[in-house]
Amino acid sequence: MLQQQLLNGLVTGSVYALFALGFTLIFGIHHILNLAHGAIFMWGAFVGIYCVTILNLPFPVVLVIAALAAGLLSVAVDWIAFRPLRKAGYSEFSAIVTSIGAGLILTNVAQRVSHTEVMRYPFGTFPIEIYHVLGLRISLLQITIIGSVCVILLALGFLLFATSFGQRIRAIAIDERTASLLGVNPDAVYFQTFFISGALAGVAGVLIGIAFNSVHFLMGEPYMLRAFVIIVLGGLGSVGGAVIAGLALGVVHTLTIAYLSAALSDAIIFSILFLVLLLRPTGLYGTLRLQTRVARV
Amino acid sequence: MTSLVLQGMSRRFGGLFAVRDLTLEVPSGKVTGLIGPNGAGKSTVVNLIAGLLKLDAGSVVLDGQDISMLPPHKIAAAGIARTFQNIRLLKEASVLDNVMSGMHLHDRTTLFERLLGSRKVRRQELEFADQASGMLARFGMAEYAHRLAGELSYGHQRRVEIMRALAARPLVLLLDEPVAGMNDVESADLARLFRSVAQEGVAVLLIEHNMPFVAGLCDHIHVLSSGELIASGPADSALRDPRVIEAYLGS
Amino acid sequence: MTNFLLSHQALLNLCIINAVLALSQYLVLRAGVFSLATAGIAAIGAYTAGNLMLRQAVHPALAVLAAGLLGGIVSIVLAVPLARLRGVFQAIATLAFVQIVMSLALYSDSLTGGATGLNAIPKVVETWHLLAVLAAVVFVLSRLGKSPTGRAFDTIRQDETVAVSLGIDVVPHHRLAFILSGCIAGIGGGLMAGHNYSVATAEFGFHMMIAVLSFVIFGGLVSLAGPIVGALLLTILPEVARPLADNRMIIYGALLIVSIVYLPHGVVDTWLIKHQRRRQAALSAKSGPEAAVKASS
Repeated sequence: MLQQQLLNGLVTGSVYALFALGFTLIFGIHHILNLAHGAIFMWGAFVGIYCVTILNLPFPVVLVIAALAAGLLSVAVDWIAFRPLRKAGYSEFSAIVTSIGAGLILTNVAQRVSHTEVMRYPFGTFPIEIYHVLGLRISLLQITIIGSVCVILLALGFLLFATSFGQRIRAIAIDERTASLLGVNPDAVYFQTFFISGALAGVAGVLIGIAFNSVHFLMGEPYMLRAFVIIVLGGLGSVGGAVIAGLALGVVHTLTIAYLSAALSDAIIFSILFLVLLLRPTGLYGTLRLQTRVARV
Repeated sequence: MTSLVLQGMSRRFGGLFAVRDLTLEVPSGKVTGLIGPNGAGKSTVVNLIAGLLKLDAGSVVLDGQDISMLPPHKIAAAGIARTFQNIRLLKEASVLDNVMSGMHLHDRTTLFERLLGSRKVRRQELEFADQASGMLARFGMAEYAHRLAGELSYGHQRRVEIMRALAARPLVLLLDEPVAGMNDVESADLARLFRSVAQEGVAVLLIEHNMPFVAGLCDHIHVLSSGELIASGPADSALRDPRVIEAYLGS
Repeated sequence: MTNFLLSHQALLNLCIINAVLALSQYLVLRAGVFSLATAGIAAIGAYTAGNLMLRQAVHPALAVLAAGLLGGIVSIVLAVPLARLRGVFQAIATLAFVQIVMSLALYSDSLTGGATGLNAIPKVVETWHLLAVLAAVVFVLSRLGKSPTGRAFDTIRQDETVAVSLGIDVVPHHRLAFILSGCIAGIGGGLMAGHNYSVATAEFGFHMMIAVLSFVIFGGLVSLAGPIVGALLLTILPEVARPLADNRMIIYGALLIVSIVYLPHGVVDTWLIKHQRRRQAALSAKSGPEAAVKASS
């Protein structure tokens, strides 16, 4: 039923939004396209499933640990792939290439570690309870997912806009050199933003891993490309735009799979990306100036 | 005689006028100065002429042709060359390559000829290299031909940038603060160079805020302050205008 | 010597094909177009040539030419949306394009054989054919590179604002690089079809994209020798050492990072720059600056 699929789509979309948010954060603040983000998401899912299967930890604890691990991993990626370039005065091209490199390493280490297998959560990890609301079926898992995402978004919003910490981050986003002259420590901000971005991805990874009951080393790839669609559609560097676009994309993806074909859903999503890049490269809510050709402005 | 005419040129950013109702002429054979304190809008003027900014009002006319709406590469093709305030050379390329890149507009070969490597292309390349070497010799930099541009001293880099601009054999040369950060000896050298370029018939527009330099070199000076023209005239009178002094000293 | 070559003929052929693909990637990067479309267009070329040879019994030379032509046509179509974009967004758009091609290839069973691909294509492409094609591509690119177009590409790549101030119209140059790159990629794919007995999606897509990018980043993206040497080294090394082959992607990842950070011009170009400087210094010292100028024309 359509409404049911819409609901399912919104749940999926909320996780897309979480993933895209971490990605947008780095792009909006540091103007870096972190192409290793998908691998960090995947490692979050890995940590999640290992915590459950090997360490038998309860689910909420697992979320926290995965968030921490992914956050630290994200910081490590920054140190290895982006920091050396900052010191040398990098071009955008270099940063993209090194992040591709970092993503490759992370993905393939995961492949080795998991022996190229798809891992599944043992039965009963998450209580299976279904509620019926307004004629729609919604599971406890889905409620947990939406709930977690809402809490995280609120916390993030508060952090960015209502604390001095957030003020410092936004200062760096506007102009790093000026901010550092005013006493903001750019290195600390890089650490914090990459950590937050990674933590968001890690949580998204665990949630997706358990929602689809499938964790494997390639699970981050489709999300990266969907994240591109989301940030372009939702506006480069726009937090609100990323959330709205994420939800919309979740709905589109779910509906396509339900009513058309799974194989085509990817092709459709990327065609949307193409169209958006063609017609409105700054996205629907874009505030960041897109790097375009040199012409009269 | 060629001349570049700015007529009522205006540009706003947000609510503020960066340049307002600017009218002036840059005649060929002369060095015309455009000066003003920092933030006066001088670089905006250069970018408006060069095609990087849209005009909100007014026009830019070159030899009777309105070029106000042309994209930057067509402005260059029309005969306007420029240098940049922060010297934009191709640091990874040699000095000779940098100068030769300025000759793009003189390319007479077709794509086909270039893909197949016809003799015409090879001959043209040799000609270009010869001309570039000639220019290097004229500027006293022949031995730097194969050095990487990024390794040169500031003064030499400036010269390379000017050579590149002149390689196009332009009708108009826009010099955006060309002697910033130079000592008197270096800037005097460049002043002689600019004068000889003007004498060859080029219309030179010199944007600077170094007053003595401008006074010694320019035939005519226009003074900009907060985007508006506050004085115009030969060097000695323009610089003694009370409004100009006030603009520089602040109120 | 010939025995050695013959026994390693398969490897040699692979090197040559990879060199052709590397040159396709090189051309766009040199012109400042951040396109990753080579893998996608090669796939299109391979399926085209494969179908023509398998199902229509077309002469392989014609099939490969057709593949190249189609590669050019696809590029013309793609060049339209790409003209407005720069940097990151060209990369994203071309990445999406490759994904679309791969998805469609999997989906259109009749044309492409779906996941199993086209099989039992007559293997008619010999080493000397490959060498002839490589020589032709090298000839055209080297002529183009030494012409004003080559200089224009270098200028656009390093500083587009300077390029337009010198009268260079960027869009036609980008378009030329892209279309030519597409033709070369199509030809490379066509050669693969005629040489590998089969065409399957697994050979193209993400892995090829990364490999081809690595060839150019590692080798260098200004001189013609860069991508060729990069392709040679990175094709041979995994064959020489088993552990390298097993961890191919991790090595590519590490290589991308290390190359960009420590050898930003790539192995070959860095060596050429050093060599050039020494040569010019020696010449200048010996017979005066004029000789040095003449020597490099």
